[in-house]
Amino acid sequence: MSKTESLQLAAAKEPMSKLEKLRWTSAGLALVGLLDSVYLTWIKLTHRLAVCSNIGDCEAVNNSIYSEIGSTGIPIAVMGAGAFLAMLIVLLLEKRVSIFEDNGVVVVIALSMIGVLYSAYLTYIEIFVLKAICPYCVLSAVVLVILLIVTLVRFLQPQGE
Amino acid sequence: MAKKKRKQQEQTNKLLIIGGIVVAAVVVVGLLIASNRTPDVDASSAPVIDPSIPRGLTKDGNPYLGEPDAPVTMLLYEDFGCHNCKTFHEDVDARLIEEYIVPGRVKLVIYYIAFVDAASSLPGAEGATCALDQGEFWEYRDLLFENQGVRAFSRENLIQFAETAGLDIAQFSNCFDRKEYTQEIVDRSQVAYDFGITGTPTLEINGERQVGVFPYVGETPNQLSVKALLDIALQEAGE
Repeated sequence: MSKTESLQLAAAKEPMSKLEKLRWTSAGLALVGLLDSVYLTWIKLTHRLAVCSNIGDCEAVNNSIYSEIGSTGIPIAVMGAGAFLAMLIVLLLEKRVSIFEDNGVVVVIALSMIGVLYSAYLTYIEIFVLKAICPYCVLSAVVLVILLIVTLVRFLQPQGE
Repeated sequence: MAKKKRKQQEQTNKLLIIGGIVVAAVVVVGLLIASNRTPDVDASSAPVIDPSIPRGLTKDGNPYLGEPDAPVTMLLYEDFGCHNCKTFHEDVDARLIEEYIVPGRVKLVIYYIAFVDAASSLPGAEGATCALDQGEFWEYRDLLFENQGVRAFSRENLIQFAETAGLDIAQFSNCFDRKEYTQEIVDRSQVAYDFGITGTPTLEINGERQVGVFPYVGETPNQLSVKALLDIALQEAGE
């Protein structure tokens, strides 16, 4: 390898490592979100706290009529867990599967964007309707916002810089 | 120059993709939120509780169903905005009435409170009290649980329930609009809280308290169930 080629390779590697850091940050955030959602799903499905109460705020939120998708009976936490799992898989396989390499970042933006908007609605419900804040739901919302920002930064990074 | 132009085009494309994602995300979230809105309430027919079953008010003013001097009293603290109370109601009520209340073995007393969901607990309880005012609590209670949902207890829907339950609509509307029982409900909720009721449903059978949802019949003989608690209480009562 000539000196020029080595320099070119090093120059090309520099921005890649920054993008890689952002990708791994996103994967870490998706993992945190997944664990959070799985915990909320577990509470919901096992009826561990099958009591409606305004004492424990997570109980009030997670057992409220807003905690399921329409009248399907599917907990919203399951939807969250599914979305975080999908994002985690895409992020981890981005460098190995060509379809994810080409479109993975767009998929993560789309999923996290939906998550952020829906979390905004749920946070509104928590504050103004249920008058109860569940810290686990807040954690999920914060993770989604940061995940969206990080992924947007990664997406908007000019190619080859 | 061409490289710069290409980069600009690339950035424009990316922004267009983001714009597309935003629009799609808004549509998806809109659909999700719309699915959370309760469809038109189905209050076309009132659930019928056998009118021959005795009913009335306890000394404390709580509605009861069953023989006034039944050997066992089952006191149920519930909230009409409580999702788990609906679950409990759907699983337990019909069989409880058939197997224990109609034969005169158990008297069911309801102590309803409002503290779970600011949007539905209080209006639900207000509607129930206005119905109780006309001596018609039980059918109204069934209608509340059957139609429980996001924004289901609007004034219009509560009046519709009253109409279905055969109540005097003018009297009901007047009672509801004047908020005649709001303070009373707030006060009774506080009394229950001071009494240690911090969640619903809470069941009390002959003084023994159980919190949360549990089945009418247990899957195993040792599982906590309404039927098992009632049978123990009846046994203790010498029945």
